[in-house]
Amino acid sequence: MNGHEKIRELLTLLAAGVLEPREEKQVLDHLRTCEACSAELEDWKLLAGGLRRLPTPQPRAVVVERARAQAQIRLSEEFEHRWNRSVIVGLIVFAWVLTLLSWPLVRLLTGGLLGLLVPGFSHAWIVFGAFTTSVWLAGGAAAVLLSMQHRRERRLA
Amino acid sequence: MSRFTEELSLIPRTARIVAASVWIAATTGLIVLVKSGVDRELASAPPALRIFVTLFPPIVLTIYALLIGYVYADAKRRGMRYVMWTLLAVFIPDGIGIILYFVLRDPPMRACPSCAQLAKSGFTFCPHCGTSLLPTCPNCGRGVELGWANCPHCGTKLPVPGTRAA
Amino acid sequence: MDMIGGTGSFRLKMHSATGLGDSAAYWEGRVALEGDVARLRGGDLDALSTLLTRYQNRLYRYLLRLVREPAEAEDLFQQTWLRVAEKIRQFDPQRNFEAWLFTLARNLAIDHLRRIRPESLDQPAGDPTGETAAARLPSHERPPIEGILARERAGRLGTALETLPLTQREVLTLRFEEEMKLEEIAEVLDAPLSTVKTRLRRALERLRMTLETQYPGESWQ
Repeated sequence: MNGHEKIRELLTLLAAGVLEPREEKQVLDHLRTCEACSAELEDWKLLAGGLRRLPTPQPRAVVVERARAQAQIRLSEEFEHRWNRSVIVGLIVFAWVLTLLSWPLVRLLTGGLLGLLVPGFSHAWIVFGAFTTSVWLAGGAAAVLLSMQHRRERRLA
Repeated sequence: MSRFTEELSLIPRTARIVAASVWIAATTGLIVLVKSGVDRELASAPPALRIFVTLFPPIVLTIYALLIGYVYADAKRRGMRYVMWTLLAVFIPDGIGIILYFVLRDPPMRACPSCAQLAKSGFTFCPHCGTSLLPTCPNCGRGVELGWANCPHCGTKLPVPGTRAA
Repeated sequence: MDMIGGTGSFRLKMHSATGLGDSAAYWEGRVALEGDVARLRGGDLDALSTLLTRYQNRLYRYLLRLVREPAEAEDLFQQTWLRVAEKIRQFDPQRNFEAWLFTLARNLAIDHLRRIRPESLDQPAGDPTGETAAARLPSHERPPIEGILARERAGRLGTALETLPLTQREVLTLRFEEEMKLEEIAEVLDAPLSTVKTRLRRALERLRMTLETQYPGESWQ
């Protein structure tokens, strides 16, 4: 039976402190009677102790500070993006509210004027629809032109 | 929601005053209009709707005014052309100008690590003291990021740290 | 059983050699860590700074053991923290933050080595020939002076440690320098417990063999 061999394998792991309680007990029981293995365990413990006591290399302070600064910038950028996204969603909702609001509001402000110009109820909504669409088109065209100019500027900067 | 309140505090006082005035004026104007019965359909509508028409539009217009104020102050602190952006926010209708601003705005300015002055976020060197804000490509001198193998502007292979680059 | 919302197992198993130290201090430390991580996930810059300070030496040491060159370890150190900033939003708070941090560092180090010195990476652990390796010192450049001085200070043990293959070096440093539990090491290496145990055993055996071969009969301390 290779009990001794198996124990020898477990000795290293015991010195490393990673044995289960059951295995640990097994080994300790064996050690009570075996001198050779006890001596061996001491060697391993010495090695483990040496590893634990290795001097800790330290990073240079300038490296740490640069890492800190850059990581903080990146962190705030990430959260900026997330914040921006929620703001934009909110603004799109707002823009829709504004658009839909302009229809009845204009109607209200002009009172019965539009009613005189356009005889039927449905016609009024067509006028408003045309108005809103043209507004969106004009705004959209302005937006496209503006972003093109902006991108050009960014690239040259 | 403290980020929200933090951003709100940016709105300049002038804008807040304008917004408050808009609110008062719009509410008053709408009350007058609704009461006058000019719009026949509205006159016969349930009172809840009439109250809604009086209260809701002014709120929206006030928010619009506050947003314009925010665009002004925010564009300024990001080093953008704030007059232009404010005008765009005002005149492009249906709030599209405002959305455009938020989509296109520059990232916040960064403080230089040595002279602590603010610089726009894409800058590779501080415009006040010249310290490097980003690692640079040895060939074209433009800013690159840590961990990149090649420069995205000129394509040169970037040196590995720790080796003696030519 | 989670006593404090979500860091992982409640570790009652006190292995004889690990010495968790004072229990109260241990739990205080864990609670503080939880708080910092939670604030970091909310975008708190100070929390990032606190965590960076707390882990700066350990992280650097781990990276240095992996890549063996101080300049490269410094660069990877910066990259690791950038990655932390980038990925903290996707970090599951139930997970162990330390293990995650070391895993990030490890992945960056291995990608780096793969690009720069692919011969310094090992064969997969399953390959029986994989673990036999000659001394793996950087082959194409003179070691910079800081490296030489650091090796002097580390003494014979440190030098011998450097000659081990990467998979063995890292398991030794995680166990003895980081004092990580077996489960944590397994998480960082993304390997089963049995593999970690085997690597640990082989690493110790090889280290001892190296020392006894290099300094026969003498003390290597």
